[in-house]
Amino acid sequence: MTEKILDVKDLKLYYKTLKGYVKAIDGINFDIKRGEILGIAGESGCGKSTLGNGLILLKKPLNYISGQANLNGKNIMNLKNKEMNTLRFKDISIIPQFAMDAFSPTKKIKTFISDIVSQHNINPDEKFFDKVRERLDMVNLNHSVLNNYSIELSGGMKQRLVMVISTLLDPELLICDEVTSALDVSSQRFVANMIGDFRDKKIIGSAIFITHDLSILYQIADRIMVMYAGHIAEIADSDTIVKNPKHPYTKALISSLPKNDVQYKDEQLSGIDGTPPNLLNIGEGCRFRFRCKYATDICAKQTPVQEEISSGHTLACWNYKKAGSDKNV
Amino acid sequence: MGKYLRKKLIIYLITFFFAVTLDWAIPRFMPGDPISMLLARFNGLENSSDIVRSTFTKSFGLDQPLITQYFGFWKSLFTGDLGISIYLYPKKVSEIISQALIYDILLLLPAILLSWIVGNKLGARSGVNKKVDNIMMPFFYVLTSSPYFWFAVLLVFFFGVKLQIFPVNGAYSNIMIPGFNIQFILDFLYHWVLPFLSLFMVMLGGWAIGMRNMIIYEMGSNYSKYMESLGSSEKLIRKYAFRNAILPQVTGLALQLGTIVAGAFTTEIVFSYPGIGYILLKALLNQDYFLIQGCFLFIVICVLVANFLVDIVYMLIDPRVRFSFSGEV
Amino acid sequence: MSETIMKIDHLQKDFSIGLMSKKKVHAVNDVSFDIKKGEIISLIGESGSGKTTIGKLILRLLRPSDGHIYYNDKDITTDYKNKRDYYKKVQGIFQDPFASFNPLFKIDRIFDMIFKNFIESDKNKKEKINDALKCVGMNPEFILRKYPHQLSGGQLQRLLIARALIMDVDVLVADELISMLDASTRIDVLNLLASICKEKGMAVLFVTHDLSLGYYISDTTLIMHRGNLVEKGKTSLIYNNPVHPYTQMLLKSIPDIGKRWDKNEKFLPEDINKKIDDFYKNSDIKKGFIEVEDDHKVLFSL
Ligand SMILES: Nc1ncnc2c1ncn2[C@@H]1O[C@H](COP(=O)(O)OP(=O)(O)OP(=O)(O)O)[C@@H](O)[C@H]1O
Ligand SMILES: Nc1ncnc2c1ncn2[C@@H]1O[C@H](COP(=O)(O)OP(=O)(O)OP(=O)(O)O)[C@@H](O)[C@H]1O
Ligand code: SF4
Ligand SMILES: [Mg+2]
Ligand SMILES: [Mg+2]
Repeated sequence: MTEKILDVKDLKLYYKTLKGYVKAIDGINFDIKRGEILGIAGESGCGKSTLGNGLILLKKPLNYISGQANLNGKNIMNLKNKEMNTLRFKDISIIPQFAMDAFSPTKKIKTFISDIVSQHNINPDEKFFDKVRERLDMVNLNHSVLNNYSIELSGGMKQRLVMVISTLLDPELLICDEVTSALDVSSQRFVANMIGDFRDKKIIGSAIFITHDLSILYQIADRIMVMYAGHIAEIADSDTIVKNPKHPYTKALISSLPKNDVQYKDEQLSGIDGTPPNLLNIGEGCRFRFRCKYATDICAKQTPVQEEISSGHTLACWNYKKAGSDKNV
Repeated sequence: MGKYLRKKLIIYLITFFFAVTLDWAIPRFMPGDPISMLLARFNGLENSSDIVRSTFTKSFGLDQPLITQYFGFWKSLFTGDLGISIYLYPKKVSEIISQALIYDILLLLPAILLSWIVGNKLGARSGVNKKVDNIMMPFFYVLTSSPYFWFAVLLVFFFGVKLQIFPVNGAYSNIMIPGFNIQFILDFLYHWVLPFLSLFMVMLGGWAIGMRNMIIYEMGSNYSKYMESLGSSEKLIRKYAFRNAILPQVTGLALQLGTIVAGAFTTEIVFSYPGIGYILLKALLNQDYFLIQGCFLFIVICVLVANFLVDIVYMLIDPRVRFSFSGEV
Repeated sequence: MSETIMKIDHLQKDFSIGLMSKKKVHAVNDVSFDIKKGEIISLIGESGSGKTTIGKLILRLLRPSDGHIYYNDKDITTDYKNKRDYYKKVQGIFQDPFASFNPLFKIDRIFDMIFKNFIESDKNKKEKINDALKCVGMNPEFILRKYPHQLSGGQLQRLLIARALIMDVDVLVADELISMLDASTRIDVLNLLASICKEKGMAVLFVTHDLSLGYYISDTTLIMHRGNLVEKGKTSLIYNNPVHPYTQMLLKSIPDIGKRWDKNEKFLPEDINKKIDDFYKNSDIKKGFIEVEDDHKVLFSL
């Protein structure tokens, strides 16, 4: 059964600033199926965190403009904070980008856990903490961390602890924002694998895994969604994105990744010239056109629409046919 | 933890040593001669002035070499003997100070503690509620920016002179004899209200503003966002924020003690309130060196002890201070 | 082989931690290596392994607890003067580029300061600045009139490289230089750095935890683990024939695009530490830091 747990339709989330709107999420369409890990990639500032945060905690200055985000068939964009609070943690949960300071420095970890689960009418008794300890074992943390203050823990330990806490109520959808970025490769691998493990053990239903590191996404995501400047460039299963990308941006991104068999002295990789556009009061048109070598007149006039070119492979580009057949990127 | 305390203690001891040395040196190297001052009081006794002079010089130890005087000063310090006042001759300095001290404690302690508690509460209120904030902030700013003596003068003018509700002079009515009876206590409280209010209100503004800013900062911090994302009520988040926001306020208390003491002086002077500040003014006007010395010494000790206590309290309530104390070898 | 310009000799740095101050961290433990002219050395290791500390020691921001650093055969750890002369030739780029700029000064003022502080003659000042900026791919007209906060992290990092270029430094310590950058821009910065090294003979100590980038750019690789240098040598030798278990594990955990991880390997940090301890215990024959092949040394026991 491939039931959709999250279905996002033409969603627009803008930051309201003194100078106007920063259009950080500007009309995106995607869905997540039960049991799936969706990876979101894209360069810094393209709106990945905005999307992640917007789904669970829409806070000023971020404003909901239009569109839908249906979680289990219910549009959560229109919910009052009170109603949304009942969904948070149980139905949708997050490991934030700054897991390193996710804890109040003056509370013991155990107190913190008791306090937040009590908010959801769960009695934090010994039986509950047995479950917590079980989870700590899963990520190989000593039970004694419960009696520590966060400052007594190393960055890696905090990262694993946030992972345990955010998933305590077995959320259906977990948003993981850059959980691996601050870690060294071995811890990266451990943490990334753990998310997959949690999914396999049905501790979490599905996950959104946000990172700018495509090579990690390839390892753990079932599908990858590539974003560029508030738009979606391409969505496809991870093998297609990595081995057979069609969108010009995805192609350029993949080819700029260091390979494990290329050294500078033998062969030089190339980046993408230019920088992403400023999203403040940005108008119509493809946002990649300033850096795209396939750009034509229409790209400046109209924003490309998301189009499903084959089953499960969506992209937004006017000239993808020309670009897609071009092997020499 | 031991090392931290030891380090602090050493710093305080060094400060104390220098303060005492300075305190000893100032009257001795100041222009003017205390004995001649004193003699002026015995003007009637012709001829005998030489005899009196030598007696006094001996009893104050002014004929000894400086170094002996210095060590003698330390010795008498530990025996609590601070010499004899010239202006209130032959009262002992220690006796005068301990009498004044009672008034100081009764005035300052409630003013400091209550303003701190009430200010923090009001500030926290202001920090989480925009409406309350808009009404209260202007008040707080006016309060904290007015000098102590100025506010005291205002109170004297309105309540003492215009409305004539409260007395504006002394700690009790002239006709009263200090004693522990209900009549005296009521009279004392009646005199106490205005000086207390003037101190309380000015301090209150500062604490409230500090707390408000801290609360706003803490509510915007990453751990607050994390708790919010996990569906915690605003009440719980406020509780956490308050716990962290109160810490800098404790440090603030330590840092402010000096100015509070100074503020108390001017207030005491405006109200002719017989605390240390008022005594010090009298002593200064009458060039009563020993009394000046005694007052300064006493103030130094009080401020140091209070700061040390605050340091200890701070260490106990903030785990960061307890654990993050690291240094280079 | 080209000449050695800097020699790191049995370097040691301890920090005391905790209020009790009895416990010590050996942040850097008996580390030795040479830096040759024009060479790019990548320094790789887990978080807290002492990489930044080594960088700071070389930049004389910290004093070693033991050991020496020789720059052009002069021991800089005992020479407390001439810091300024030293900084003319040895410079650093740090993890956080925003902290490296005075926010109140426009960029042109910052470059003026470099000339005032480090370069005697003002001759061709404008030309030199413009050349350096063009070299790092930036438009002088545009950039010089900006304040630091008006520029992105990547632009600021390129400015730092331009600064090193103008000063014509011998050794550049680049600590997590590209961690702020996106995949698409970071390759450009790396290419730039590598080409400068080739042309000007500048040596770079490239601190990173990204192994693929290290492989791409460096001639020599140093692997650190908990303050120890566990493996060093020519980059291709280390990547193709890793001997130390930590290096092996690191290389295995590189997310390789196109090839999936083995799900059964857990990569618990605790397991890795145990494996390394076993390795040290069981290597009876070989002791200490030993050459296993030409230009490839491995730590067999502590
Ligand atoms: N509070 C804010 N006010 C105005 N604009 C904002 C605000 N927060 C973010 N933005 C803008 O929104 C855009 C998207 O930011 P977002 O944090 O979602 O990026 P991201 O993809 O998560 O980047 P990163 O990889 O650096 O985390 C950026 O252009 C950013 O400048
Ligand atoms: N000033 C200091 N006082 C006490 N300990 C320190 C200090 N600076 C560094 N350390 C300790 O020294 C060790 C090495 O730190 P260093 O910053 O060199 O690590 P790193 O390899 O650069 O890590 P990262 O990849 O996280 O930047 C760590 O255990 C750290 O806690
Ligand atoms: S729409 Fe045009 S500019 Fe945009 S990616 Fe496609 S070809 Fe390039
Ligand atoms: Mg982000
Ligand atoms: Mg570092």
